[in-house]
Amino acid sequence: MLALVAVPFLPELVILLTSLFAGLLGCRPSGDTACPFGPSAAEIIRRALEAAFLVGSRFGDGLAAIWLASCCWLITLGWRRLWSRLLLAFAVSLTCAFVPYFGPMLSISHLVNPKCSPNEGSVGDCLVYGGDVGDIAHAVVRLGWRILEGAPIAIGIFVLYLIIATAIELRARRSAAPRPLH
Amino acid sequence: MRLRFPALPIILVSAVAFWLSAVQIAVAQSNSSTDPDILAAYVYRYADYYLPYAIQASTAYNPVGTLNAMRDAGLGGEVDYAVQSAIPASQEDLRGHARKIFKPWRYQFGSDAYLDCIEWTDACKAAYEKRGWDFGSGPTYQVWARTRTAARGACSEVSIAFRGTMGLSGGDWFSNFSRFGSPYDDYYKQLQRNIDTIMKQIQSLDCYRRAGRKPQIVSTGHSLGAGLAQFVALATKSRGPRIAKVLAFDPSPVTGAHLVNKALLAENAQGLVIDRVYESGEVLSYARAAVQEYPRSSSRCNPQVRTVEVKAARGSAVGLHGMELLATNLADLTYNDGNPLGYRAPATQVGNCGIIYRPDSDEEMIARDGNRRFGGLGPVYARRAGRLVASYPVKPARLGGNARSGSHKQNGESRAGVTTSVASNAFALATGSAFGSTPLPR
Repeated sequence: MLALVAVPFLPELVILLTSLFAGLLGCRPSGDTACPFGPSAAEIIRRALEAAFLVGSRFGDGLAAIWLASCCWLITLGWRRLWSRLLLAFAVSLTCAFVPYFGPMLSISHLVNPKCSPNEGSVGDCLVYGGDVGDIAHAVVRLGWRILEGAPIAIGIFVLYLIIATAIELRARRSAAPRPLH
Repeated sequence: MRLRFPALPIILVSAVAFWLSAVQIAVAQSNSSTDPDILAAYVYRYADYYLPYAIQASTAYNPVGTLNAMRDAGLGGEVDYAVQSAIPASQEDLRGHARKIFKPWRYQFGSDAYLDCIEWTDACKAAYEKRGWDFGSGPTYQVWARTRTAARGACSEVSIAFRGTMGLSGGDWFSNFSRFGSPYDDYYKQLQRNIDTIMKQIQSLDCYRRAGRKPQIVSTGHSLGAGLAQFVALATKSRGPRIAKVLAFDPSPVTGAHLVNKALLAENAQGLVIDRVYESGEVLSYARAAVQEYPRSSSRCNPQVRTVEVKAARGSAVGLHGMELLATNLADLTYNDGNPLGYRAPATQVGNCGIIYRPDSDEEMIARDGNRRFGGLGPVYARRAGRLVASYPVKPARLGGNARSGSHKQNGESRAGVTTSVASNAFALATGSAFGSTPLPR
């Protein structure tokens, strides 16, 4: 279950880990020299941002509905009490409503420096750890607007699950109730 | 002869269908003269007009401090800086063209800090005391002025350019989603209590005071900035000049109109023009269709909302939302193989709607290099394709393969150096003309 929830947000984790390692190596986001590990820190961040952008875009296109339905199905299989199911489904829906669209932006917010100010206008370069991240840094800011499509999908699926889970619970209670003897 | 039963409904349905189609055609025909919208196929005609504002909207993403330093240096470095912000380095030729078009503009002042009260008037103080939570950030705006060539030091138009969303700024995103109000002291609320002071600052500009005819004030911006630009036009309270026109690029569906009382809203909407310029299919075009705040795109008068669709790029909805892309496309559409296409302002008179904005008459006298264009040369008239058109003889060095001639007519009045017109603001392009001529004055 946790794996299913976390998989779409792996690119953001990669960015955070890259920054962490870069920091440990003594690199600064506004530094002029390239931070060497793997290809380069900037290159890893750029690739991860592209993946995160793809995930966010597809979630906005409707993948969110399939992903959320799968999560709800796993919740139904794994948890028996109605309130546990609804609470978990709510938490997952909330994650699904915000994180795919704001997660990429959040993951680079600590990298903002005078040489990299991501904005929705795509104005200016974005240089971090001595390398160019490119326009994708700006694109993830614009991705935030896709919450207008993604949030209604998440809310809709949660409401649907609320109805279905309650109906399943009521039906289970009714069938479990002792039948009067004749 | 008695009609058979099934025949009657068929005839009735046919008659109704015919009537409906005839009515629709008539409505469509009557709308053509009252519809201010500019379709994608014709945008190239107006690209030159929109380009300076697109450059300002792009530059608004840059720090105000940098522009302040350039203004203080007094070398006009802000023109290059603005063009470099709007158009990528890979398009150096377009940068060169855009620089010529943007040359008359000069940066005046701006702000990128939280706006408590620029001037602590009683009204502002009262509004500030009732403010909601704040994020410590405020709307970024930059004020530009178009200098007159005829009278040095005076300006003919002042533009307030607002910045769009920056990164994960809480203030920016809460302002983006304040469609139905918010408990935060968002940018719309900060501007509401300060816009009159900003208008006063504009009126006290040296170039504004020097102008014989008071310069008109316009506002512009991209995305969130376009929403703020629309808001200040609707929320100005001062008895002084109003914002005459808004040039909104990829605008947010939020305009903050819910914060303005109805009487003031109606007053400010009188004669106001809002041009919403956007790349076809950009991410907010869907949001505007679903949750557009007042004024709707269908508003034809008070305010007159003009939709200007640019269809010059392909990509994802998110990818098409960039201001750099839009500005570069507008610069590209302004030229044909390096030859400038004719300057044309969108029609000012649409239907019977009275508007306060007037395309700057000074524009006609400003050449692309910022100088009076061939003022000493008289026009040469010739009849082409059954109509009289004007062309301007020039030095041989400036002759190109393409010659342009045309006419300019505005609100039924002919302008200087213009003879006849087949349509308002029309310029005719004559390729490979036998006459030595150059583009008409802007």
